[in-house]
Amino acid sequence: MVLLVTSDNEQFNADKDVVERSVLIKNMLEDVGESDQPIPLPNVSSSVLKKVLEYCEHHRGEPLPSADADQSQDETRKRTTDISEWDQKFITVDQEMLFEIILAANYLDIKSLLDVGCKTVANMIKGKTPEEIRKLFNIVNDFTPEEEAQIKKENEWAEDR
Amino acid sequence: MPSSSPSLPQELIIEIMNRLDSHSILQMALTCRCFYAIFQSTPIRYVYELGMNSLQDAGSGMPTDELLVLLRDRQKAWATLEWKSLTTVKVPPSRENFKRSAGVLARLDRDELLSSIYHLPPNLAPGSGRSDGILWRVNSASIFTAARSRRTKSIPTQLRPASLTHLLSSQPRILLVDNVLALCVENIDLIRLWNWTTDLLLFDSFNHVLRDYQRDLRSFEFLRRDAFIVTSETESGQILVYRFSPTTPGIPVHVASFGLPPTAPSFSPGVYLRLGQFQPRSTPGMLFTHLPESRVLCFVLAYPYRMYSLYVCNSTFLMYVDNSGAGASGVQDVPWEVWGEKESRFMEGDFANASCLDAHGSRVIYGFSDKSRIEVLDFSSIQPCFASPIGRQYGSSNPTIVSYKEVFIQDVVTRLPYWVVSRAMEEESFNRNYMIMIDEEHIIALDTSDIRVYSF
Repeated sequence: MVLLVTSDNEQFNADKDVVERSVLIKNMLEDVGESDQPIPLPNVSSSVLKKVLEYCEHHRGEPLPSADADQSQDETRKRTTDISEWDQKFITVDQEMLFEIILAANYLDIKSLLDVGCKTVANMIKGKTPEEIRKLFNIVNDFTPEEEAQIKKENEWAEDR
Repeated sequence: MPSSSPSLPQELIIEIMNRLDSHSILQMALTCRCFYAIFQSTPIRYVYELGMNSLQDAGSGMPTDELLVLLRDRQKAWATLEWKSLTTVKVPPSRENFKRSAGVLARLDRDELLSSIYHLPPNLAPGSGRSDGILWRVNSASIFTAARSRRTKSIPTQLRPASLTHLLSSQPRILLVDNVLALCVENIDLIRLWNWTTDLLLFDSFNHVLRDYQRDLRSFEFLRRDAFIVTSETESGQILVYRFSPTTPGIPVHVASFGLPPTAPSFSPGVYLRLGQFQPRSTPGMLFTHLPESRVLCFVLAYPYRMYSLYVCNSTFLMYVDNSGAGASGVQDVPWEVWGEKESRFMEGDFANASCLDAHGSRVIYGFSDKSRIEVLDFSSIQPCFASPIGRQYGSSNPTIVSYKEVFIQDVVTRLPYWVVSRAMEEESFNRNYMIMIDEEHIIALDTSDIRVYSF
């Protein structure tokens, strides 16, 4: 068992093969060797870690993507926006939690979870106008009217698809 | 406090853009300065421009900035039809023409469907006419393949001698997508599908008819390894889409029927599909390969006294295949009014002068023998065309209008964007009896005694 401590000082006990889906934690465990020292995760809150551990628990035992994975395979994985049924259900959360999960997956270095998160955001963006995307991300349009007109003109040809 | 910076760091915005199609990447870039700056960075420009050109990375592993330069360079070469090199390969003279089959060139022989086989570029090294790649043969009993390893594999055709004679005399075709092999006869007396890896006969139209009026069916072509289309002359002509399992034997499921332009009651078209072999995998050595869903399919429609060509993107059909897999049941009827105007181009064909035609990815090539000229139609982004002095563009606001004459019940208006370039061929011998083909990086002209490869 491994003891994890979140940013809000909550402690989580989990099996080694579950938490080792995180490359960050795996490397930390290798560095400290056999020890009962708790592992601090100052960038992850308890509510997010609970979700992340749920994901790791479900996918335990599955082969991890190798570091030197074939690049073309990697490209194919990026292009397909298919998400498995369990993952789809798992990632059906509010937007704040979705972004938190993506940030945590990035920090903890869990490639498959990062992929599910980014694909989900990508699927939310598809088919939306710039104005709708601004609402989604809470973005303020900071182009000047002149810039906006110029950019629209430059990319006019691409709109006709 | 409103903030213009999103709550995700730049590296994660890049990860998300990487998973988007080109149109959505642009929409995202148009939201704010921060996203627009990311859009202008080399990795995202590369993904974006690949998508706009209906291409994907073939996994060369080269640095992205070099790939982006090569991609732009190549698209410019296509837009101006300025090829970079010309290679000629001499082949033994023969009265027979070449035929493209299962991704290689083949010459017909009397007792075998395919005898001499030549690889397509870039494996076609100068001087080495005969390929040592994969060989295909259909003879009296089997379809053979001999791989580079010299191991020969055969699938018994299981045909009665009479059927075989009929088969060989009626121009059978062999098609291959990954490990699914199809053998079919042009007027669809026969369609057989095998899984090449497991030797399973997936479907045999002798045992199970595809539908009641099977003899009405015409051209067969794969859309993907789990889907194909056939054409029909029912009503005003139809394109029928089928889905099948590439691993388990079963009767293919009819998922959709696409209607063609409605005709006056007395006119029924002959609908044929004319295009190059579907190559789902990249040829070794290529940097970019076409996206299977943006591949353009070219149909030839023959009405009494008139012929037309119809161009449709693979994605138009595949959408229905994927929906049917996701639970939609029954055959979807898709009348021309629903899809035709936006998702196709319907043109009067210059078939009297066009001696040959081939398609690959988003491009279609015509060869005009009398004028010694080639013409390339491209259904991907029209951007490269802007930089080309010889390119003509046809966006959605510039429709093709075919007047209804006596054939159709009204004018046929279509708007699928494309652009076209044409170029005279200087070579004196070019206007003899030849065939012309196209792939991602080459135009291939086949004469009776040589193969000329124009590389872009």
